[in-house]
Amino acid sequence: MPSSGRPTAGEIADLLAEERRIEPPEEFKRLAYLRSRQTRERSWAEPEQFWENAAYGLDWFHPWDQVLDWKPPHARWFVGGKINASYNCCDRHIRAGQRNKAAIIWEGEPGDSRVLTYGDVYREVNLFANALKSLGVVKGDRVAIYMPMVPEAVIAMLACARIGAIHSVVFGGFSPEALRDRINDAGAKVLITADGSYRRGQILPLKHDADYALRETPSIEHVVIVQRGDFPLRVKEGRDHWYHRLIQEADPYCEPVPCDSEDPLFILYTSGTTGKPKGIVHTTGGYLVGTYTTTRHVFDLRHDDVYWCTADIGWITGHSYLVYGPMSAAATCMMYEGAPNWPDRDRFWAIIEKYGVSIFYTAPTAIRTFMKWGEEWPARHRLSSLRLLGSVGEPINPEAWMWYHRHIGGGRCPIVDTWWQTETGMIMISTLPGLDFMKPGSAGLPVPGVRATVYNTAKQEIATGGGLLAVTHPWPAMLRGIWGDPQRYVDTYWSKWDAGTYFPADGAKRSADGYFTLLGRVDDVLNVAGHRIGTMEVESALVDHPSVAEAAVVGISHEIKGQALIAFVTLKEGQTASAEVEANLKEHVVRKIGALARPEKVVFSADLPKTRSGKIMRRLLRDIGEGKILGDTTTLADAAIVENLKRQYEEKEEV
Amino acid sequence: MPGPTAVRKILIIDDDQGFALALAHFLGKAGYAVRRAENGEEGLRMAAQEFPDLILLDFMMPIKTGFEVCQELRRTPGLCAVPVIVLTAFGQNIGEIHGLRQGETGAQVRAVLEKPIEPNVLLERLVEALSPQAQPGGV
Repeated sequence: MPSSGRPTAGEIADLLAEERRIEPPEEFKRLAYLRSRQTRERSWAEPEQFWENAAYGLDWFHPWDQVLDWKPPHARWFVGGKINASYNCCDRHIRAGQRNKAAIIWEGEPGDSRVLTYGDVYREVNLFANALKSLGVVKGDRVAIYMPMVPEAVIAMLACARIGAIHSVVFGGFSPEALRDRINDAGAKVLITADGSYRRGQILPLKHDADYALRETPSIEHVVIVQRGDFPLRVKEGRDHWYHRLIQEADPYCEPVPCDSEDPLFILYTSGTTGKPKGIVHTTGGYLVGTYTTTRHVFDLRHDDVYWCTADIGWITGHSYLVYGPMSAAATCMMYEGAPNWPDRDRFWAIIEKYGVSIFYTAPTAIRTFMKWGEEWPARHRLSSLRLLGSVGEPINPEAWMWYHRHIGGGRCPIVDTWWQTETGMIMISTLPGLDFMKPGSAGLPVPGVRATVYNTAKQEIATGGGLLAVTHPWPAMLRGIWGDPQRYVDTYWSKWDAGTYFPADGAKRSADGYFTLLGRVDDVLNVAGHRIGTMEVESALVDHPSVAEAAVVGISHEIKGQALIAFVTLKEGQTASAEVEANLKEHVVRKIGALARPEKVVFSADLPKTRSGKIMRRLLRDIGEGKILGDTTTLADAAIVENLKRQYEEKEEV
Repeated sequence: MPGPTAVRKILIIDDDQGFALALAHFLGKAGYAVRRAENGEEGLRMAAQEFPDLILLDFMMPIKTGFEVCQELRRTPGLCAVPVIVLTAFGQNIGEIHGLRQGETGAQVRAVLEKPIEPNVLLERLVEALSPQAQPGGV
């Protein structure tokens, strides 16, 4: 229920009370990187001072004249500063004597592996940057990257950054149409791709798919192909070039271009709930300062950590916390090509054991899948090298949090539950692992230098209770715009309250200890008989039931209540769907939350349809719930039907 | 003991001149009086002349390493109590290996910070190390 009095527009009911508090181990606190509350408090009081200090943690060719120029909603950070991202991710570590430190430990799905030191990455980035120059790429040109998870994907990004070209990475699982639209929107001159990749034992024919896209991409002049395997493909003479041939002929050193702080570093497309994808633009100086600093604080990085962020480089998490954040901090990064269940369901745990991974950062959707598979899979491996776990992509349900803590973290590893977005560029809300207690399901406090709050629609601050998340002060890694559509930037993000307040379109509640708990997308908030209910809380209540592996709740139109809840549920292995289980689940939700959240119906599904970024396809579920497709929902028990539906809706939900 | 408003003197001993210069600039803006030395030998000479309140010490340096600097500080009257923060690209383990945390070198190593540093955290460590209650040992 809303915290006090009549609910106002924009408030969201605060339903699920989570009172468990878990302290990080004393030893972790004692050795933590950031360990003074005063540092964080001062940063909230004086964010510009904090970020200016942080900027001294990077190498600049020319210092900035002004920390922030803020003309809402347009920000310029480190005005006048000159910097190069690839220099900060390679050269400076070499200069500091870390040439032989492992930068990327890579494992392919078939089991092949490579280790690239910072010296190796430096050499390849220089060669490939020169190769790109030889293809006519100059500062400001856009370069599309459609790559599998291989080290050359990172090298390609850093090579672009070295010469000031703007990369636009398109997730390798996207369709040729999605690739084509993104290439055309960005006006990319060069496409970097690979002959293929391995995924769940199958071959993903990337170049073959790219060829379809390339039929309608007039801006593309050259295509570079990285040879991953020995996959069949067609080479178009004059346009297509092998990566290994290009770098054979390239000069070994490429002077890094001194980029202006505000020169774009990359464009990354994000699906909107409506309309065409948005090309989110991030610039160089502020983005690097934000990702470097948050990597240091949130992941508590140390010299001998083996850090594994499982995100694909096609997503912002891959950009910020596989490439720019950890590599500017000289971290040793694990990178894996394939699926978590190939050849078996313990692949991730085998990798952690084999390489001694110490920091592991993954998504709740993956964690719930691991839960569904059962704890016997991680139990087969020694996971004692782990010391810190992270979660990213969506709010994590408390039960999934507890499972992660117990079965992966051995009950000893702190968990950082990080809230941020493609648009924010960097982690915005998270506990600091050596400083804060944890509450399962709650992200914690804004990170140092970030000011956030909870408002109702009228911009009244909600001190405790649910409402709309707002970021009230600019931050250095914030998006600078939407490629080619300046008005949409203003309308989407800076018009909910006023031009100085960022609207992430997420619901959040704040508890008395100041912790923020995310309630999911505002679009997913339901209005049931006058109560605004975040689907996230009902889903968490369902996942709390011992039989449930995963749950998605959507609202459908209801004559009396306005909207009614339909719960789509997958059961843990060994459990069977029945009318009795349905009744139990409804009762469980009533007990955990209250009668207002009782689902109208529980639909058992073999699998929940998800986009390739792991987001639940709610539009599809709503259409099923309302009977627009698939008259008989019992057929959802057939995984092939779910898969088929998913394919029909994929482009609609994701492109 | 200087009063709370006295400007604290910091000596940076680091052969990476680009890094040391930026660091000196940063600490100057933060209100410290900063001097720089490019190697261990020069650093010891400057320390003996200027009696800094704290030394920021690199480890891998030509002529005299950070470890040797620590040993000599110990033998020098008036310098054996100067707090030291080690800045190194080689991790906190180096501190462990050389017994820095145990204070076996005698110099007052208060913290080991890995390069590249996050300057707000360096400020945090400086305040800790310069406070009258500060004890050697923790990193």
